[in-house]
Amino acid sequence: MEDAIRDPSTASPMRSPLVDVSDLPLTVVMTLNESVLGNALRRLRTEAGDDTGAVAGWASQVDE
Amino acid sequence: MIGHSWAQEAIDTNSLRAYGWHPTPLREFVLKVAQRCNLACDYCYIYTKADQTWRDRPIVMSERIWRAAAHRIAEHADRHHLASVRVVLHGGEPLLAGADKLAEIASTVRAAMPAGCRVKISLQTNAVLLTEQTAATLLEAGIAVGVSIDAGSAAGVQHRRHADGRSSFAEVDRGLRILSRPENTGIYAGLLCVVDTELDPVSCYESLLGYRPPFMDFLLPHANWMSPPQEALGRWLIEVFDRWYEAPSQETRIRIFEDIIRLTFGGAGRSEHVGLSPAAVAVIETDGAIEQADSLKSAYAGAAATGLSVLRHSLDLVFQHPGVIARQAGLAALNPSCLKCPVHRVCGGGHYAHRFHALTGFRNRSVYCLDLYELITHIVARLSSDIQLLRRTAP
Repeated sequence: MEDAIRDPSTASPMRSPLVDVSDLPLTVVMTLNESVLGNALRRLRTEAGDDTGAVAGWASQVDE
Repeated sequence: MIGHSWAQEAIDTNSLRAYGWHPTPLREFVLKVAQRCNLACDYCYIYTKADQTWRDRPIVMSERIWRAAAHRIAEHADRHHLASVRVVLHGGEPLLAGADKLAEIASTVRAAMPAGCRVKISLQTNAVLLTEQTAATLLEAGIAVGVSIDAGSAAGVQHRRHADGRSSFAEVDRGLRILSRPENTGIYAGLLCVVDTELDPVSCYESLLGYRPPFMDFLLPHANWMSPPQEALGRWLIEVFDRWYEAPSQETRIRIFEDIIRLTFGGAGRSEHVGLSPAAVAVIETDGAIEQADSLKSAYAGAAATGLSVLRHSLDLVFQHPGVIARQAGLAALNPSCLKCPVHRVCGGGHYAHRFHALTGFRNRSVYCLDLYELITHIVARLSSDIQLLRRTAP
């Protein structure tokens, strides 16, 4: 039973994004602390539309 | 002539083209400047897995090859009007080629680039040969340095040994302490760690924090449906995630977690491990062969080959290879069962190499499917809860 629950192929599809943050005001996002979540939300806003393709090495991180 | 194997036959390139696939220009070029390594890690995908092509290749990349590689990269950047590209000096152990030679390669690549195209150059090393002098040479050459290490303790790097069985930890630790000095901040890229479920996850993460890495990544050991992993590791990664996520102030960046967070919020992934972003990497071997991501070597002999060479072919020809097309085709290349999964846009089917089965090729779920599902749903739940809280408390 547990395996059936954990098997993702048996689940029904959901819309993307899984968590919608588009309604969070930029003013709120920019004043969040330096936590992982705060930084992630700020980067999401400042990097919007930046899809340069998946890479294998470190350079994608070094770019930022 | 583009070469491809039976494992790619299940990929219907005509339907992928009809579905709307078009080539995404390559942005990252992995130069295998040294074919051999001074360590003998027991999980290495180059030496211990199905593909043994390293045995027949030159030990180091010759000047003729790296000059041809620089020309092909520049040609590709010019043709596609790229504003930037990334070059990773890789091996084997790239420092076996010598830091001065790496600096010369970097200089040649930069000089070859068309006007307006920036090039970021990095090195992925085991740090055994990373001395003060080496670091100074790399700093002067503007080559960022990433280090492969699984934990910050001798007991935590059992898999990363010399060929005679000696631990590599003391040498790697010394190299990393040099790299993490303030004067080398500008070239310290980060740490790549292969998950070892024998280790306590939080202790492992905290031991690595001692090297003050700006970035880290936790890699799933290469496995596939013919050679499945011995241990489930979703829970291990969740424990590291929680420790990392709950820090009041972010201590370092962890690529796999940041990718999952970004994808959960509807952004794009940037690594091969999760997400549906098109793969934009090509590998150039010491003999000039143009290959796909070399992690495919963990699947079967020749899995990464394209039949192309920088001596004779444009890099654009890789876009005729079914494996390259599949790894740029996003949803269209996934196994149909993946499309029913609620997290498939985040998972992206997992690492391409981890989908391999000898009977059906690569159009399968990842062999780490359940681990990825467990990790992603955990992260989604935490983010969802925190975003709701943020909405309630925001002015």
